[in-house]
Amino acid sequence: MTRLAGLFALVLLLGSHPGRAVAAGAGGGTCWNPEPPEYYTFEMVTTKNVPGTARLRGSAAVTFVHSPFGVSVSADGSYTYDVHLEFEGLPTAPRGGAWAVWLTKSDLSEVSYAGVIEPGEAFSGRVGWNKFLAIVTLEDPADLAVEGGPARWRGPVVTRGMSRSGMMHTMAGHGPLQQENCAAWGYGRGG
Amino acid sequence: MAAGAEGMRARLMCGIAASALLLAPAAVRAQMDGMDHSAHMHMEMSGGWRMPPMDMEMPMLPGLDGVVPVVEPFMPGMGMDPATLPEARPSELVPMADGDTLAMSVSMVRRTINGHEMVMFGYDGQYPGPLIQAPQGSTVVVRVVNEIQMPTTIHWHGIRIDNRFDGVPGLTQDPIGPGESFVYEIDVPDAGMYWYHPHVREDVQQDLGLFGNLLVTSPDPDYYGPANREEVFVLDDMLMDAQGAIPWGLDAPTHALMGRFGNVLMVNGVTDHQLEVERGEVVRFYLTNVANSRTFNVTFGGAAVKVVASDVSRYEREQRVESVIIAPAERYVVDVHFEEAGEVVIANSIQAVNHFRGTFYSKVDTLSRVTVQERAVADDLSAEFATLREHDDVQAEIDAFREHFDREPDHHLVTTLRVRDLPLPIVQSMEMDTLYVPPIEWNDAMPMMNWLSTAEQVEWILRDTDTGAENGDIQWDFEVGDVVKVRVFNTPDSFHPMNHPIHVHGQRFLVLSMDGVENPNLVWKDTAIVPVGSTMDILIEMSNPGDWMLHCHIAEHMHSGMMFNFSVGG
Repeated sequence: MTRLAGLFALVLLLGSHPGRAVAAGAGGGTCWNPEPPEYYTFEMVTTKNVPGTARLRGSAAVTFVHSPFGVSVSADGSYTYDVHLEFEGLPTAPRGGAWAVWLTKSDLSEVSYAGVIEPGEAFSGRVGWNKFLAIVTLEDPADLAVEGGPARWRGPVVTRGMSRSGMMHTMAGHGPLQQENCAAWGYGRGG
Repeated sequence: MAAGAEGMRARLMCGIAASALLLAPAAVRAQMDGMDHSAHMHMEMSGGWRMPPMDMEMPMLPGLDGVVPVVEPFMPGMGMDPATLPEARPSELVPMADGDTLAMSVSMVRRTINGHEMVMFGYDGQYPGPLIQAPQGSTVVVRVVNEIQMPTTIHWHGIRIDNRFDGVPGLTQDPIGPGESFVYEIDVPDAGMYWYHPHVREDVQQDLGLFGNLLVTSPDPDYYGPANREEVFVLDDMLMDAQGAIPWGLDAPTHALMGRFGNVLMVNGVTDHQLEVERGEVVRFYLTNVANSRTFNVTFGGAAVKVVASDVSRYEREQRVESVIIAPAERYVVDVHFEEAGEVVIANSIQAVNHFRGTFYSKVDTLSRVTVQERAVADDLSAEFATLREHDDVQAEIDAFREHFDREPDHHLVTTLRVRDLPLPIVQSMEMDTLYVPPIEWNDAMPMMNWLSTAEQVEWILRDTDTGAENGDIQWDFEVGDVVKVRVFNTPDSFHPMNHPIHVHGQRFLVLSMDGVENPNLVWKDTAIVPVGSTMDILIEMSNPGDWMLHCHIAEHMHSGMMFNFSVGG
């Protein structure tokens, strides 16, 4: 709970900075690679903060977006990935809400709304950051129906995970999330 | 019969000890006396080594003060006065017809890079070597005379050549000793841009200037579509400090972990490359990466770019791209439309890694400055450039192989490494640092540790997971006409995982998929990069009989063992 409060405090500090349109979602059961690189797959860890999601289990698989060069990199040199989310035990969103998927830079300086994930379905989005967080929140559908997509989430975070690149902080601390316990986020268990 | 790994390595290294004669100890000591320690005053190098430049944000690891590579330093031409050598000339176009012969020397030349006059190598006294142009289907003859004090060969990279002339010492020919010559007969069956380089101590000889292009022209004048002009860009880098190039290892390469990244980037051998074009010009760039280890992300200042061809063919379909990612030894043909007047910077634009801080940061190095004049080009090719051509003939040729796309691989390779006797601080640091590794090593983030790792301490491995055999012990035998599917997995679970540009000699292959995701736009390749953690499926057409190599084209990785031979009977 303390962790969550810290995270939201950071979100509030950062304000409603509009997300750069580098991440786009393609909700629904899209067909995607059945065997993504295990190394770059990361766990989605529940916050247990929304009733019915305490046993939620999920993972995010990461693959390169197709490019003629095999590796996919943008003009500024950032990797471009497809991110595929799957969950076991994702219930119907309570109170007529929706499960909203967000992709953000790991320091939350940029946020992109990726779409809505439905129970029992996979979700695919695209991200142009080397380090990123995938976050699912519980939202009022009306808040999501904003032209160009909402800038930030308003509802509670249900589950979240950080790309494997987030582990690259071992020699100089944890950056803006220094108070966090990495192991509790699912990426403190070694390579 | 394929040579064993140790035997091949021994042969590749042969003659290098003799080259030590080029090292003048007195000159080495004099160099030491005069070295600039401004960046690291506490360093006291020994035996002629100078520490490579380091980003001052990277702290020196405790315990590494004064440590030098376990091999002796090697600086060709040490003690020689560069003024006694001829100044190298820029590359010259050499059009050749079927049956023509070119006499080409391998010699010492004088070049100035980044303000430093240096003793380097050149093909025919040029940098890069002569741009040989030959019509598709022809045979051209190149008589090579070795005038340097190291054995050498020439490998005609990417060409489905007669095996006798593939230029691999100990496999297809004896090394060309100092003062000796060898005659290469080069059949060129496929149109495209190729290149040639030594296959003896590539980390030294190629780095010092032994590379050149071979352009095979199609009889079809519309092979690539219209462009206002064509430019050849040979991308390279050089590791230098205030005194000049950092020495190489004598008996074995240094920088064995990550490869020798340079800190001075060049196009066609110069650091201040410039172009002038008219507004609206469509320029066709033939890009070749001859760097030892660096993968480039080439940007064109926001100008529209489309990729047309790569190593051994055109793509099935032309495709718009924002940048061109080109690994060592790869080639790409791209068309660029310079629509707006002004200056356009062609750059290497990457997200470099700071391992200490655990961050990515933007690093942009200018490769070339293009001045786009106000005057509009007379022959406006905007409409043609806007069209993304489909190449039915390429697709039709590939159609014959599609039945093989979905079947299980015939062979499985995994890339990994072993290390031994590295300084303990390096081992401890690397074990901590490799919790996460980016898929591509874009820059040398650990120059001290990388420099200290030699091929005597690092063994890069290609392992056949079906048999357990590694590197030179792998035995693959095929027949002409075989179509072989190989799955290469670059395991991240190793001491220092790194990307590998895998090169296959004498044949061509298709990259079918990356991480199980099907490749929707195919092109025939001879080299393709496998990022860390990724799995690449390639389909090799065994069309050319003989004994051939498969290896990583990071020079230091190959010399650290990452190679094996396969035979194609028939």
